[in-house]
Amino acid sequence: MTTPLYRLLDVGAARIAVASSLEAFHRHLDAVYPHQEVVDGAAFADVRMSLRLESRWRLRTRQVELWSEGQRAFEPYPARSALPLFEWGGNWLLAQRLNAYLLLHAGVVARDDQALILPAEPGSGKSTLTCALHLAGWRFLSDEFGVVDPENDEVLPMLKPAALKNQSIEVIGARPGAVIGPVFPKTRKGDVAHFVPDRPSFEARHRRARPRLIVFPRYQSGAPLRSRRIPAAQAALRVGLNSFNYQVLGPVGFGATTRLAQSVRAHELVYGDLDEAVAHIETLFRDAG
Amino acid sequence: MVSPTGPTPGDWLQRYCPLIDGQFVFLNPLSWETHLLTESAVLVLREAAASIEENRFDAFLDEVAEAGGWPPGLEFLARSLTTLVDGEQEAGQ
Repeated sequence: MTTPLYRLLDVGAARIAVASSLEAFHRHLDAVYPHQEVVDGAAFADVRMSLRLESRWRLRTRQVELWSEGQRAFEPYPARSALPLFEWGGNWLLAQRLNAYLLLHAGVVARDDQALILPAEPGSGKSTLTCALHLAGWRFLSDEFGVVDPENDEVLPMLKPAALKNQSIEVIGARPGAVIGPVFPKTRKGDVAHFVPDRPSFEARHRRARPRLIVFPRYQSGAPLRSRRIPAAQAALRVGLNSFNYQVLGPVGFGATTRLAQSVRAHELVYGDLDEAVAHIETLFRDAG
Repeated sequence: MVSPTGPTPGDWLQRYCPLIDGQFVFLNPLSWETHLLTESAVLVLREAAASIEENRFDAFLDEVAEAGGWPPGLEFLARSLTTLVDGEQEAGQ
């Protein structure tokens, strides 16, 4: 039996190793992780996984499985959707493993190493807004994970591509400078494509940022912009609710969320127009200093 | 006897029930869920904590019942504080 050849991706807060014999998967990986250097695949990785084709006999409907540490944690995907399976499966595995940090379900961007944290529930337009802010000049730290170090309350980048779904692909793809990987139609979450953060953000993936502002975004089609300040106690609660591992961390997570909510302002933002939301956030961020 | 290794119920309230912007945020020591509380609710929890530490929580429960019962949701939080003391004391109550 041969040892699988792993590709190791250094995304800042974590290292992810993946092995697969699927050529198309590697082409897609190159497209959405274009800045990654070659790293020794045998080096330490927080998450190590394999993408394997299921049966060799089901040529028309071949499925791909994600294995990690001897377990298949997900139902298989169609072989053509190996990249979305890698991204979602990898995120799930990272959320299980990285318990040295408070992991928020949040986009994070920064200016001058001061972070804007966008915690949100799925379907709130978080990824679209994060990508739009990045294209407006903010450093991209992460889309899915807001990684907070409870030792010093700094935010670490988790520089993975942002998964855009359905209309968001076109909305972000139409913006100047947007780089988007292949579209995967009709996945379990609809059409999916991955937005690629720029090279300067990639090169800064080990540079932490200090939290400066929290915005809880919610996209609502056609809605006028509404923004209101959230009291700190409620902000702490909502940050905890938008975390992957808050309850796992217990007092550590409680300390991190309450300190965060007490040290930075938090706002709720309902928006129907992306440019208006970006402009409003710029103002909130400037005034938060 | 209060557990020699962990915080007492009173310590827990000191550390994990801070006042932030006029509202109290409480970390449940059992479930590690977080709750927003009013000042009056925190006063009740402090009394509950004191009664647990003094090994008279059953009497405190009787007092609350005589006073008209628990505000919604608060009994569960008060009982969560009993998990901070050792099993011997709980069994003796």
